[in-house]
Amino acid sequence: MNYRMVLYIIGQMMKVEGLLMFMPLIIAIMYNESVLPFVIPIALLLGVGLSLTVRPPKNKVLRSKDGFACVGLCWVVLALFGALPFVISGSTATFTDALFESVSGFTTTGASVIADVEVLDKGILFWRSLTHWVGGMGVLVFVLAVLPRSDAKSGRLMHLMRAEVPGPTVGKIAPKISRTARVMYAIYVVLTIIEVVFLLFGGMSFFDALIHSFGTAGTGGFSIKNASIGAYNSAYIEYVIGAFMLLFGINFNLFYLILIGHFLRAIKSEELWSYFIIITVAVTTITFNIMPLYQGGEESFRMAFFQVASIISTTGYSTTDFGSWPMLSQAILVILMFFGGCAGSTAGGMKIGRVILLVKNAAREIRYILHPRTVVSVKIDGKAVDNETIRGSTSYLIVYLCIFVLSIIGIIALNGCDLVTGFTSVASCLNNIGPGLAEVGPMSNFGNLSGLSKWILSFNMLAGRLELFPILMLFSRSTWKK
Amino acid sequence: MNVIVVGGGKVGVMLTGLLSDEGHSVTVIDTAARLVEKIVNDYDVMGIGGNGATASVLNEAGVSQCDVFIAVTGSDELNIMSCIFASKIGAKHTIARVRNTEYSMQIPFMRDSLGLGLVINPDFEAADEIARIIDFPAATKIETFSKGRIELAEIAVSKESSLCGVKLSDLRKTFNTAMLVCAVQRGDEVIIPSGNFVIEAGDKIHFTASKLDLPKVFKTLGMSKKKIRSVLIIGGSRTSYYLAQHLLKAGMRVKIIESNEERARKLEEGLKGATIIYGDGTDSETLIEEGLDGYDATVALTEIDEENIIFSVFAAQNGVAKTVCKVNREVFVSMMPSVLEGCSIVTPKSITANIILRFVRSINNADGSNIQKLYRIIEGKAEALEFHAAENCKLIGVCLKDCNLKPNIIVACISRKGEVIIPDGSTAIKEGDSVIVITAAQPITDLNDILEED
Repeated sequence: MNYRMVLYIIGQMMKVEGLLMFMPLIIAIMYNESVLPFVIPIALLLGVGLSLTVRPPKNKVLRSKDGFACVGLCWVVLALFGALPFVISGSTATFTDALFESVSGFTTTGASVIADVEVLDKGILFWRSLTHWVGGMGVLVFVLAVLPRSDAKSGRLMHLMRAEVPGPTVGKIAPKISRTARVMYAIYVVLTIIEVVFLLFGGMSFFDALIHSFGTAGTGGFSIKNASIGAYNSAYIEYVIGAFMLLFGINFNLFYLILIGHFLRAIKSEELWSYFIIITVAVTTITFNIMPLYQGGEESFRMAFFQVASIISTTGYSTTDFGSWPMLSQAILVILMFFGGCAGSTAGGMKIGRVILLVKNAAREIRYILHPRTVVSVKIDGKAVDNETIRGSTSYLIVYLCIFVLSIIGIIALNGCDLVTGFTSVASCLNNIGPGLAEVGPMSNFGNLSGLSKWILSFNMLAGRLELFPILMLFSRSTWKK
Repeated sequence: MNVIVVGGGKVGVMLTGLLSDEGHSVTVIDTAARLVEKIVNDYDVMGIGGNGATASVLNEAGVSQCDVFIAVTGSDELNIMSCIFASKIGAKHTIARVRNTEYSMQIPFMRDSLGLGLVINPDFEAADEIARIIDFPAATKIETFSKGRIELAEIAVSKESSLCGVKLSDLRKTFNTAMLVCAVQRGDEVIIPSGNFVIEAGDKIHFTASKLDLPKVFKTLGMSKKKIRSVLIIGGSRTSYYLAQHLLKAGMRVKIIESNEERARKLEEGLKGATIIYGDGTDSETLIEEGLDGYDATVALTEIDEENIIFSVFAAQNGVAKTVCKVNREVFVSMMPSVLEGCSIVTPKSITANIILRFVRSINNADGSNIQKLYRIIEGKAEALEFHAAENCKLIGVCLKDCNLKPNIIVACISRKGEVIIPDGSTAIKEGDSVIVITAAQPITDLNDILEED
């Protein structure tokens, strides 16, 4: 492994994180709160970051292995330092809790261990939600956007991007990686601002609008209300946030295509169509299923729409306790957890693109059995997908299931909880959603789980956000060989 | 600038690397998706898998916003066709690689009527370079500037050479020759030397001199080799064909050994006066039988690098004074520098890449001092460029010793109305001069770039 370059990138990342922490610091000063929770980590981050990046390494080549391991390491470091404000401010009881909260923030999961968020300092609340926003698009994508050109050119930095941006394949939208990263962030920032404006119209305060836009944009789900979005009791806000959650679950490359005038090419995307079809089916079914629980069709539609948008985009906001819904609706939501949003979005889960690929591949296998001599290729958007990508997706699924099953067993063994709690807590963390069902449902939290199980779930969240391999690679001995 | 490269072969990859390193936005198109993926991993560029001669792929690559369109696939027809498409859709400049002799005859037509900006025949360019090396056997490499008036020669300094231990400021006094040492390769290092530099054995020095003086320079340096009168070429490729034409015209005796009977026959029909042998050029029996040791020079031009290298070493062992060897994969040369000592290496892909690079940089600098020639020397670690000094050049009328040049840049030669000036501190550039600059620093596109910005 090219340690010097990996450390250099980690250093750059720490500088970015240090600078980002100035935002909650300003909030803390504005509200006359303690500034220590931010000053200490900022000093640490900038100090270490600067010393790691004083001299750029001579050999800047990051091979595929280095790129993946680098992203994995970066995120571990990111989460560790991101936990410091929670520890120093005493918002969480233990370091484990702080780390869980930080990992949950950066991986845009939104699972919380804090029972009463409404008593927390504004600065801490802001930081909690800012981690969502940064983690959604990816902190390394941000680093790539601001990295000096001399680093990018000798680069092979594409491996970093590939490891951090979710999806079976990653397409650049501009020849230069720095430009690609900047365009992605520009779209991200603009969409976030639009949402803030919409929420302001709904009567939210600026601070609340910002926090919830961060949570939506990163598809995270941290709220500053114990009752999440339900606390505002406003149909307008629910529709706005619901719609934006769906938007942030769409591949950002498609927004770019629309931006440069290729509207037709964008809406022809098979993944986009499947995404909307799945949503429509789910919302319709649930609306009729929960009709008896609410007054009138509009309210049940709104509840169904918001919860479906929240789960499929892996955000995890809630307006109602869907744990009390009929079993059919709950089952649909649990299945949606695994689908997740589109590739190249800020959403988690397995990604619609990958699901389509796996389904089509399975159909191809069946055709092979029926007609052993047929020549069939798996096609997405009319283009044949090469076998490498398919192989990548199938091995992804297997590894995913292994982690999933082992984690469920671990959680149940450690906490002695019921199967629904074990199953949905892991599903919700591995898919970066937030709330599960039963003991970890939308109206409760993860605080009652044992310490070790929080570590397991933290691992699940990181693995889910980085699509397994960057984190798994850290456990392989050959990764660390020179 | 936005650059599109169609074809991810040897030349395509090399160009992609060079152009993206210079800061251009490069998009590579190739039908082989695997290849495209590898290029995207290795360089900061965008890749598109598909046929570069279809409108849909070209549109996806953004041809309408593209400044330079380069087609370097293996197929001439595809290159020409994609360039025509691109230029009709809106690419500002197009470059096509065309190898087929029958097509290259109609280059003027393709340029004028079909909108092709530059048509390159790599085989022809390679033959041209080899012919120049054969003209001056003492140099391992030779590049010409200013319509052939100025030569940039590379020589290896041996232990016995009279150049050993000479300080550059004393060079003119000691040897009384008009030459300027402008770049030195010592081990892996590239040095742009100043007057205090002392030449050591093992150095590879690059110097400029006027073409007329060059034989004299070699003579005074005691490096003059016998003029080459007979050349043995192994491999009957297109390059061999062009080279043989060249050499025959210069009155040399040429023999080509080709192992493919049909090709041998074709060569025989096309080349009057050359001896064509149908046989295996890597077989020592054949070589001895054909009188290898009697030739002044050998040129290895088979398709296989390894064969070329082995043959060249074998020829040198058999007492051939000058060996030229075509190597496509430059790594081979750096892997065994001692084996190939004294052998002149020719890499066709970098010749093509140099020409395209020059074209791209001069587009980039349409109204300044235009680049006339560009050679990448010492494995691409330094560049030799010829500029036409335009009116806006800040160096005009200022003595060179008063110009604040960037480090690692040297003005190596000036050609003024046909007269060659080897510059010293008191020389000043005039408008209209052809100025040759050697740089080991960042790439430059304008003559003004050599000045330190203040």
